[in-house]
Amino acid sequence: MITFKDVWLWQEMRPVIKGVSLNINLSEKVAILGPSGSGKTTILKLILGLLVPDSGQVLFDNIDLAALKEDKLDKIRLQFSIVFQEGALFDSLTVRENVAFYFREHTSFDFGQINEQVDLLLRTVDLQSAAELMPEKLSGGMKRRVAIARSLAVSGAQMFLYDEPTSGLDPVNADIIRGLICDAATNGKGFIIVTHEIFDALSMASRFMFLKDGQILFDGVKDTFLNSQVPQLMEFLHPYKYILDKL
Amino acid sequence: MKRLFLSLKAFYKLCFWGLLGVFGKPLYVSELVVQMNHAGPGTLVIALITTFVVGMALSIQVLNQFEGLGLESEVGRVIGVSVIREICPITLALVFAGRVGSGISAELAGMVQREQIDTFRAFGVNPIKKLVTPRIFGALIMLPSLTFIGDYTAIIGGAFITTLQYHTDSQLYWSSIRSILDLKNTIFGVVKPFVFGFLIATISCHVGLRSQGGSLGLKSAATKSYVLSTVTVMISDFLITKVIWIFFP
Repeated sequence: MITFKDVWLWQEMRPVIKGVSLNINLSEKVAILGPSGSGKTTILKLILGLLVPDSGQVLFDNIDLAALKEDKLDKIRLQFSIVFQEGALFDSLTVRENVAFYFREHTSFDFGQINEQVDLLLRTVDLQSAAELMPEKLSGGMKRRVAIARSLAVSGAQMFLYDEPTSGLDPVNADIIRGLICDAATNGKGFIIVTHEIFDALSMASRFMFLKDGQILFDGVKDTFLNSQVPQLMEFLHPYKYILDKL
Repeated sequence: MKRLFLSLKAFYKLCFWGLLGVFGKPLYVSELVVQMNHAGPGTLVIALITTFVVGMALSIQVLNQFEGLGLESEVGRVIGVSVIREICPITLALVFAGRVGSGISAELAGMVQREQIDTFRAFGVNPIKKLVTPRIFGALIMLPSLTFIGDYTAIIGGAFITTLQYHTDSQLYWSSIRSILDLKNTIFGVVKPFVFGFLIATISCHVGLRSQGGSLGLKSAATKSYVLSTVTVMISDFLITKVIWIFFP
């Protein structure tokens, strides 16, 4: 269980997260929506302990992340697996080496076993043929798929975190990514997807949060989300109103 | 002021954990080899050219001063002492800061911007141990090695001018060089490049990892690391010289 208790975070002399409180079970499928710059990615980084709140607490199973030393924090981080925006692949490593990253760092697998696992993961994302390419040779969609393959390698992960996984992708690639995200969320594993793509969120998540200016203005299920009377959320949904009504 | 204090605190932590990173598993040996290859062989040609030319220039200056005084026999000694104690460590530290240090800063700044450092941490990997430790030890091994080679190259550059242009006896030159290879000069020659290598690597890593904002951030990280490294190297050069003279008067 992830818990935020009145979390505040300041960056560059301005608050980016303002008094956020929430509870998320690791098996939940959560979408955090909001316009650019509303603090969505920051929420993910707080969950992983990559950022420390200026006040309030971020708890994982009632353990305050800010109180933990880095090695203890690493163990908690491995309960999650994150796909950053644009994939964040390591430039100096091939696709195969990127996907093998977790196995090399955290397992005692030999070279053959690692290759076997990597081939399996690359087959899952349909990128076997790109195994020896460098990230710079990949398209945006391929990079995200490699990043997803790398995240799937984290065997102990109970929850996946996705930062704008489909932004900037063509519809076909976006659909492939959505499929991979849903496939990964099996055996009680949940995900948090941070996005401003409303249809991505609606097609994958069961719980919706709306974040604006560092504040959570809405937290609920699909029906209440679409019919919310929160003015900022209504404004956010307005451009999609026509299509949503048809749906 | 608070920002400076936090930055200094982060720098000391980086130095501490960067050095301690060499103890305990995992050891990133292949990463160290990559860094050594970039810092050493990659800089060798520039180091050879620079030190050879500096050695030649220095010998012209010294010979012109000593010629009229009949002190030609002391030319090798003066060139040797200047090169080993001061000129080579400083020249190569500046070359190293420009070629290797700025590169480290720009590379790490790029990794910060592309969220690769966050990815390391999210995957439970310590970026200091993985990225900083190999760079520190790469510099600690390669800058002294380059300086050692550079000392000889500069002395050969000096011999080239002394014997070929000014027709001084080469035996005289080399015997006066041999006479200065004592403990004090060895300490100067060894201590300085070690300290400079450590400073350049840690400052460059620190600046790179704390960089912010787009392509301007990369540019500013590279520039800042070079400026900070050179100033720090100069100041530490003075301090090391002072300390060695206190202990070996």
